[in-house]
Amino acid sequence: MKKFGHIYGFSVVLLLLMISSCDKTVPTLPEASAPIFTLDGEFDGEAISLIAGAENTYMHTGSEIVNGVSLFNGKLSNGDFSVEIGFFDGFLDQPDRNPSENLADVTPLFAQQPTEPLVYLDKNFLGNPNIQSVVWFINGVYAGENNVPIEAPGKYNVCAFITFANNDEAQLCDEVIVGYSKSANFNIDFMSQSNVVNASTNCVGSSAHCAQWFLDGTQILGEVGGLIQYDSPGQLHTLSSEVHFDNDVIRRRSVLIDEGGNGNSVGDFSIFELISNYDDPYQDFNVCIEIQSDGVTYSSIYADNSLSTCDISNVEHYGKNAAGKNVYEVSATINAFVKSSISEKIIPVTFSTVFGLEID
Amino acid sequence: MKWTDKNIDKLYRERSENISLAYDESHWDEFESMYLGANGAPNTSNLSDAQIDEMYSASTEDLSFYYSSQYWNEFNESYSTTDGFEAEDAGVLNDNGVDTIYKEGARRLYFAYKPFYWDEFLSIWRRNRRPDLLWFVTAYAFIVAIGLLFFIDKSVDIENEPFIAKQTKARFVQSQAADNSNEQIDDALNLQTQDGPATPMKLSSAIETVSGSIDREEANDLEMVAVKDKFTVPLKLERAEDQGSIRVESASDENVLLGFRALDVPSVGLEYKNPHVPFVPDELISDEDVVLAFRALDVPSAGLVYKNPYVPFELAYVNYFAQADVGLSESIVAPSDHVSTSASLGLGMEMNKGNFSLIAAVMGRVENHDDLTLTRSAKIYGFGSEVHQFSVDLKQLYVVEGRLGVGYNINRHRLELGIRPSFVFSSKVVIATQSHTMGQNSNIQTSTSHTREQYGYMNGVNRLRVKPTIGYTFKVTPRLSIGGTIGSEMRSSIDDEYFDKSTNRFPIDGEIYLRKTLRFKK
Repeated sequence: MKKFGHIYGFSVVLLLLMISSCDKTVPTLPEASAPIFTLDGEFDGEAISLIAGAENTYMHTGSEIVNGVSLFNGKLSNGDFSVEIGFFDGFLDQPDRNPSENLADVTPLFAQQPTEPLVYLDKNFLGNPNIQSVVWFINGVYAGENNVPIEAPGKYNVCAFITFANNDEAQLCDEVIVGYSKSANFNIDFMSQSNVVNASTNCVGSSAHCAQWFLDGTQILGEVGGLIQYDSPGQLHTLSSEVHFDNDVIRRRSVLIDEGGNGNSVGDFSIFELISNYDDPYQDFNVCIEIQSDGVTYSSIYADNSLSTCDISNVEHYGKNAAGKNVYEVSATINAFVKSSISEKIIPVTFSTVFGLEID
Repeated sequence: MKWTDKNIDKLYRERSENISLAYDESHWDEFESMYLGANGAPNTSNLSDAQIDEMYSASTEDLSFYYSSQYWNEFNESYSTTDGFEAEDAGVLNDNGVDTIYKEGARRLYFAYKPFYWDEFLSIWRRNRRPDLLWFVTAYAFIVAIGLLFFIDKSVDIENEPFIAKQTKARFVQSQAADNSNEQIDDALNLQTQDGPATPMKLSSAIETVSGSIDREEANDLEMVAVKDKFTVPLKLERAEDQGSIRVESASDENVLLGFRALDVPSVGLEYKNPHVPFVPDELISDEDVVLAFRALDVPSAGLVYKNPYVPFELAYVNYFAQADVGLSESIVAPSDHVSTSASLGLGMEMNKGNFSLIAAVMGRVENHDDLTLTRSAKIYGFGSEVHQFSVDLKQLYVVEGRLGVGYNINRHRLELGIRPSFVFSSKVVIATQSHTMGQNSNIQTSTSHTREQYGYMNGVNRLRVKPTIGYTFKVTPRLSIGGTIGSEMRSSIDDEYFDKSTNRFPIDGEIYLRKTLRFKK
């Protein structure tokens, strides 16, 4: 039996080895995913394909303010070739709007560069013959004197530095929205007497349920359609009203009140919205395309895309981008034309895409 | 002149030289005078030549030789008268004297082995051998028969049937059996002389009762054991009562010759003695030693099967051995230009029966691979992408391998056929992890990597394998062998889908090994 002792011992060692040889695990991997942001189509007859995450292609997302209006955009770029798609904001008079939801419900048109100014900021439309001159500032930028055109749709903060005939000077700023739809609007009707202002709101489009009045920036009591009587010493005052319409539109208007009896009162700028001759469809949620290839920029906004189409099939939240802003996946099929910034050649572009839009 | 063996031989040679069978015309004259008439007389016979031939043949058939004491007397007298022997010498040549001389000669009789004996045997054997196929069939049948006998006779308990073998220096031990044999010779000769030459007599050796001087070289352990010095074989005569002749027991002439050859190695001697012989051993050696000794003497290859009727001794025995081997193998995945290597170490046993050996072993085996790499990656797409990747490189597989084989021994060579089931019980892997992130700005890819070793990763490895082999072994010494095998894995070694590679079916591998017989102390 001693002979077999070695065999037994060897067997025991092998048995222990086998028992200790249980399966070991390796590092677990996160679950792989399919590409999210892609673009496949043709550009000038050539097939194009971009996949974010492959071949150095990245889905850049962001937004910019164009004429006071947000342009939500996304750009698929591999460094040499990129396609940027942007959607303008819409329903600008509705502060609580949700562009992502609105975008899913609309059929975007292609944004067009107007062929003529949408409106002129003319001092004559201010309705006071005592105005000697007006210096216009749009969105804080000097725009000109007396008669300044607004050439593109937008939401502008227009300030007028007014010089009256008696050399009095005053500044009146008001919001002007041109080229975009407005769901409601109003203007301030007022009559200034000594130390008393009789003002009311003239609402259109929707009824208002609330109006807040401000005199020189200080809120004062008042109603939507009521008479504001307020005794304030001094010459020129700015009276503002913020009206809350039932359709969630909130607008703010300001007028210049002369309590000195010199006739230097000036009405709000709603007149410019009314006289805007923008005949094209409003630019709410309109789309624009910009393609960069071999250092040349091709833009849809300078080409005639009146017959082009952009069909959005799905909009859903994706996540936050590096800036912490919400990004939405937008699935769309686009047939359009772009125009070379150099040769002004019109090039057709067709593609289906899922791209990201920063809408925050 | 004394009657020594040498003188007798000399005398015989001289007489035999004078014998001439050349034709002499006087012979015919004698024949003619006997049957046809006196010499020179007219030939009146009408016999033809054919009739004469017939008569001659008939007369030769009637020739017989009868022994008579008169012959001896005449022979005795002729020595004293014609050959010059002195009377005093001739006086001792009676029957008793011859018997005494014969007995003394028989005691001194020995057979010194000379190489030409073997050559002579081979020449006879080769002349008479059968065609190869028939020879092999006969050999296999013989081996099978021996094997069957071995398996059938399971009741023999070798442990309880002691026999005694002894190693000693070269010295002759006169045993009682030898004395008995001498006495038998005397009796037989007496019987012959009494019954006359009509009873054929045959001398034979009974190798079973061999008692001789056996020695064993200490330096060479068990491997080289052989007969040293001269070897005395007592002749055994036995009368077969029923047939009127001497019946020969046990070994044939060829076996006797082989036995002598086997037992004649000048430097080493082996003394074997069964318990029935009053033999006092100086030191015991094991049954394995004896078997190894006989195997070393090429007894099996010469066709001699030793069997002592008094000792239930079996040639089948078990050896334990340790074995180490190294090998090369085709890659177990395809396509691949890599070659895998392996090394094994283990223990085993071999059971020998005749020329066949049954080999069983358990080996621990380490396989080294260079191309058994598993790669897994996960790519997560988003604004860019993140690639997480790890690779598992199976550097080594640890295998416990059973080896079963059957070998056929030809002298120091062995051909083996075997099967090797194996179980992969562990592995050594090198795991490398990497992560790539394609950033937002400038599309810069960043990566991190880590590498570590790990044991026991068995995913994707098929654990059970079966490999048939064919091999060759050369016995450098009875306890040390070298050999090589070639085999091919029958089962798929890896999971194709897991490794994204194809299994290389039936990869050929070869290995060489060194096998050392172990000796366990009782």
